[in-house]
Amino acid sequence: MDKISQICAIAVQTLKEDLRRKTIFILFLFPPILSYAATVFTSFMPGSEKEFLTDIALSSVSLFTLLMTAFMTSDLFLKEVDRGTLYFFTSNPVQVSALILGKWLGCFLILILATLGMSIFMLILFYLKFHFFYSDFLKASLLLLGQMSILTAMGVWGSTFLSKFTNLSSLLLIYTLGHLGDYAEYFKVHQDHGVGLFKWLLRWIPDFSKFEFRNWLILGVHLNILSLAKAYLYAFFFSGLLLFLGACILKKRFFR
Amino acid sequence: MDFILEAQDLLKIYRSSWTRQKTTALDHLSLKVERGQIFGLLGPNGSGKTTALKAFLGMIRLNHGEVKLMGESPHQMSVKSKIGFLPEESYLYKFLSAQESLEFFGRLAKLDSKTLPHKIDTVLEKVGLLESRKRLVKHFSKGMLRRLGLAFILLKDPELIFLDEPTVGLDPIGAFKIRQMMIDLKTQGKTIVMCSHLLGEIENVCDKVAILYQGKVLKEDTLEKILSIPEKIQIILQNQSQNMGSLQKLLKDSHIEIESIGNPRKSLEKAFMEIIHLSS
Repeated sequence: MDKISQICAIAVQTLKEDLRRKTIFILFLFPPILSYAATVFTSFMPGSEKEFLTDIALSSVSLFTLLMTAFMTSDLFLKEVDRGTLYFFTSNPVQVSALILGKWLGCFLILILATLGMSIFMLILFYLKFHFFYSDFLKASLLLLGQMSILTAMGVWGSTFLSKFTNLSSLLLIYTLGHLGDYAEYFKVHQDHGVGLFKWLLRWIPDFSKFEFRNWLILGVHLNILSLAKAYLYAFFFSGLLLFLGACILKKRFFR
Repeated sequence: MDFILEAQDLLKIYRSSWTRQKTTALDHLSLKVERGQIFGLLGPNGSGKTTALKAFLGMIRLNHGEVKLMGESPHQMSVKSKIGFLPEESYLYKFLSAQESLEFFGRLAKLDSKTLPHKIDTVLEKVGLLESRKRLVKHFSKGMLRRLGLAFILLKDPELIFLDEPTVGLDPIGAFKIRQMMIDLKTQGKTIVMCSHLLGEIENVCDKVAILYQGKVLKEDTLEKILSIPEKIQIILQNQSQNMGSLQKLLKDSHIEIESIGNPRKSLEKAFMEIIHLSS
């Protein structure tokens, strides 16, 4: 019970700190502004305006939650070491697993709040534009959050040993690889051409195609609750693995 | 003897990551601290005081040596719940208020959540921050940050307290109050290990002192033994100036050499506190 209480305390502290730092709200405001601006263009695209707006709205939510993740996690532990606030944890009976889980949970809670807030705004926008309640948009946001849980864990893990710049670049690179290159699918198809070690390494890069909301919402690929649950299981497995690795590094460096 | 801290042959070498140049921060340092004492680590800047404190707390990886707090490794969770640490800078979360910081700290220290709010009120009152409890820490002055740091220690109520330069950057009144608090903690049976380069501070509160230089303990003893001059004797009498002549004659007749006669001096801090007290 004590450990759960500690995890919650760390998560709430992370949440409060990040929410009170006003800069995060600037990122939060961009997707609604962008989507609202997009409504102007949709008037020139009769017939495909819903798809266009959905794409713009989801892409902007995806991009800006990524930026929020990168902003929050890239120097998460580095900051604790620099400010000396790591002493809070090292001089108290806090296990490193509680610390890393609490930090991840705090960042993830902010992303949940942000995604929820942005989605509600988009729903209102859709309602005003097309006069219907676009509930599937919320489900797409859920998929997005699954992906963000992995990226948050990746940022938290990276911050245990990487510099802010390296961690930030890695996060953006992996996100871009996952979305633009569709590398995972490519290597699944072209397995024969891959070099053994390279293929083995690729297995450990998260496959973001599992969270590709466009397949589902825009191209009309059916996604049921079971598929969503599978995607979340995958997300939490990957996040857990990354957090475990992060905990090992933190323990070796600061907790012994 | 009941030793609450035992450090044996501690060696810590820092290496520069580029030039691989070595700096020995602790050079086979050994120390023992008795329970209930205020123990001072005294030394110039760079003598290894802070490194020694971090080594005692298990916060740094040592090249050699062993530390035991209350007979156990400092990494044990049971030990961590019995120690308090005030770092040189008050490292706090700027965007939390004083009360939120203490609540957070209390939960990390696994304090009873039912009694926590009452305890927080009590310690905030003790350190004089009850009025500022809702203010964000980023708006606090250096003195207030230091007092909040002490509030963490009072809240946790540990057996063994480590203080790194506890009064650095404080005005004389703030420093005096912190020293008073340290003496109060001692009377409650707590053990304090503090490091400072302020000689007056160590002299005012410590029972035992270790003088560190270049990572080595040059001298370790009680303050009384370090400061006394065994070849001389000081007698303090009530001021009876009309009898001074006969006293001097008596001593001279007894072949006792007088080095100086005058009024005893109080410390500048004591005089300052009296003047401030009178004016307020």
